[in-house]
Amino acid sequence: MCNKHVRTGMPEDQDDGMTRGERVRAAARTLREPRTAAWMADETGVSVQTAQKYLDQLVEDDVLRTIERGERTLYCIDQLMATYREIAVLQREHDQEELTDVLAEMRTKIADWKATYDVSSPSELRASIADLTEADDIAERREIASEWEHLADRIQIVRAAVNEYDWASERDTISA
Amino acid sequence: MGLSGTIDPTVYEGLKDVLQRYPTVTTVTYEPNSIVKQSLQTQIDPNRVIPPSGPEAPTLDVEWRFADQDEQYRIHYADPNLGFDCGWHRDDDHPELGPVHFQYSSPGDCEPEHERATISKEAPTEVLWLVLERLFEKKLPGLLDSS
Repeated sequence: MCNKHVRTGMPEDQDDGMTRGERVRAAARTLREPRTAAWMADETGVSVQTAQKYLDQLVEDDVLRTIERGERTLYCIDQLMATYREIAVLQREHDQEELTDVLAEMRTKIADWKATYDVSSPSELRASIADLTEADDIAERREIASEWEHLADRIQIVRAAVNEYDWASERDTISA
Repeated sequence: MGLSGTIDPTVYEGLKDVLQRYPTVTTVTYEPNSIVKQSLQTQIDPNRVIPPSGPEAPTLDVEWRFADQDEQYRIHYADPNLGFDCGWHRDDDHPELGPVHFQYSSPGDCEPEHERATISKEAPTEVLWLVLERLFEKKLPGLLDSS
C-alpha cells in the first residue's frame, strides 16, 4: 500500500506525513471547547508531557490561551488572535478588488434570501420552518440559515480586511 | 440534504494542514473560494492510490459544521475514472445507523449503500486522519479484492 512505502525510513515519532508534534499542533487549531493536555494526548496518541509541551508552545505563539479550572489547566483557541490572523491572511493573499468583489457577492446573496423568504435574519428564516411540512423545504431553509450566518460572519472579517487594506499593505513590505 | 451548523474557518485551517501533509494529496483548495471558505476540496494523485487510477484526479471533499455541543461532517471521495464514490458522513440522513455512517456507490448502483461506522476520535483533525487511513489503506485497496 502506498502509505506503507511512505512510512519506510520515517522517524519513530512520525506517521505518514505528520510528526506527533504536528498532529498536536493541527488538532489544537480545531479546539472548539477548552481541553486539557491529557485529552489532547489521548486524541493524538502522545504522552501528556509531549502534548503539554506543544500546547504551551502554542500559548507562547498566541494561538491558544489557558484557563485555570480548579487544579486543571485547560487550553482553548485565542479567538481574538485567530480573527486578526485571518484578516491578515486575506490582506496578504488577495488584492483589494478581489475582496470587494466577493464582499459584494456575499451581500447580494443575503439580499436575495431576504427577498425570497421575506425575512430579515437567519433566525427569522429558522423560525419560518415552523409553518412548513415538506422535509425538503425544511432542510433547505436550515441549510440556507447556516450559510447566511457564515456569510454574515465572513462579511465582517472581509470588511475589516478591506477597510485597513492600504495600511496593512504598507506594513507588509520587506525592506531591502 | 446539506449540513447545518456554523462553519469555523480556524478548524478548516487545521484540516487543510492534515490534508496537505497526506501522501496521496496533491492540492487542497477552499470552496467556493479562499475568501468565503465553506468547505475544502482536495485533488488526489491517481498514481498514488491503490489500486492506481487515472487519468482524471479523484477528489476528496471535506465539510465540517458545528451546532451547540454537536458537529456534522462529510468526508467524501469520488473517482471519476471508476465512477466510484464513498465517504464517512456524520449528519441527519441515516439516524438508524448511529451518528456516523459510511456510504458508497459503484457504477450501476441505483442508490448508494449505507453502513454503520464508528469513529473513535473527537478532534476534527484526528477524525480526518483516521478516515484518510481507512480510505486509502483499507477501503480502496479492498476494491481490488472485490473486483
